[in-house]
Amino acid sequence: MIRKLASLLAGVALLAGQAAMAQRAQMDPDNPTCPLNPNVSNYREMRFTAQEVNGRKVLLAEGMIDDNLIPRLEAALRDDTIEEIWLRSPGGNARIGNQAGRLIRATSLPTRIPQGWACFSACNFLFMGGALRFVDPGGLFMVHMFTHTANREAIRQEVAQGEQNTIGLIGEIEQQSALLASEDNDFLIRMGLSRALLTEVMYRQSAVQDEHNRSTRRCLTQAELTRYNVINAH
Amino acid sequence: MAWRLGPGVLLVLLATAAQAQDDCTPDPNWTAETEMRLSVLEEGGRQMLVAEGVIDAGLPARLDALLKEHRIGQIWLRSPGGDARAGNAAGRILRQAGVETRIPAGWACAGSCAFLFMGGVIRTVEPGARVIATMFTHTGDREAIRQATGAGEQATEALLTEIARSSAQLATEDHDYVMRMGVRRAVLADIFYAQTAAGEGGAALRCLTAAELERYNIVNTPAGRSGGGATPK
Repeated sequence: MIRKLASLLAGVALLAGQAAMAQRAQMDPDNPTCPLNPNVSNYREMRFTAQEVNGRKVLLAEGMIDDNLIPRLEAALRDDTIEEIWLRSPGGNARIGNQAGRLIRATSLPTRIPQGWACFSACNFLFMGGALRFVDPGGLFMVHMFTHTANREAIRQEVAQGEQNTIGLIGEIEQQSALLASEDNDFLIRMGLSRALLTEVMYRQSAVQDEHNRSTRRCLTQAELTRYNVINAH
Repeated sequence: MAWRLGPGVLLVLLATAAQAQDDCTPDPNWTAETEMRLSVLEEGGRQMLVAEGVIDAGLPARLDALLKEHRIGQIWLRSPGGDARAGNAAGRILRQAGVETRIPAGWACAGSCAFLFMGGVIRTVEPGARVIATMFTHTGDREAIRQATGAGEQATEALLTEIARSSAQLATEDHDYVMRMGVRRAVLADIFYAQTAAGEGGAALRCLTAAELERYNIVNTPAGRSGGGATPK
């Protein structure tokens, strides 16, 4: 879908302004650092749209990080007039996000979370792929930890089969967590971010609620973004 | 009830002889001491430290005190492993003191002992000695696991989430540790985390080959170099 420049400028500005106002107005009681309804876009598959904004060619990347994203991103990046990538996404496939981040880094393009937009979960890794990384004031870099407990039925079945199966399940979770953390560490080192982002923020933020802690996401402040080198340009 | 990993649920990197793989070593010589015993030896005017047994939570403090009291040049290790964080902490103490590490011929250094070994500024594994990789685990306290699973789905889920979080934290600490020690971090995903800690057949043990020890820079002296001193009996 190609939009006209004027409508884009108006649309993006309106969207950003409205979202920023909404984010300021209504914070999430369960996640006090984040707005109740962050603007992550509701496209079920990430859409890539090349647009011209203020005389710059921008690639808008919006929606869920789906399993088949890579070929579409590769195709979008073949346009060598693109100067910057803007992101809003609720996350999705973690390994694809990581792969897409590496692809973006290979192009040396900057990434940006514009005012009013939010980049959550696997989107974080896509964003980190930017050689120069901007989060505009009012833009949200929103994190949580990976989870293994999405498939509750599988957990239920393993636990129901007795202690030995539960121990086996724990062993698998330990192993998979260590391997995923190894990938995260490797990715952050290669992208030039502080790995303290993992131990001090990401791995402290559960992705699932329990009866004592209902928090599932954490929005970083501009100071934190700078401290962990998530952003390296203003 | 939210489950947290308290002192009762240790992160352990502990191997047991019964779980050794056929291609590893059927009877590893890592001693039966349940707490790492530290003994100072005089060898040609040089003080050596012999460290034997399970790596316990109190090891870093004992090691630190001993290294302040004696001018230790080298530490000889045999151990089935134990407390993962204590192994890394003790390794940092060795590095700060500039102590060499050595696994003498016929001795085995498994689990968190392998991390302790990496703390040596010069690291020697003699021919016939074993460095054995295992995956860390939280499953030492079966009673805590039993209580969580018995308390229902939400408690089980909270326990599993906490274990994932703790595993990711420790893996990140391990990366930091091996990089600071000058060991290639790929050894973690390639070897240590590729083992099963708590499968049906128990923990898997993986003996590193001489080529692997060199490739990941776990040893940084030519294989077989003793670094001085006699092989202990």
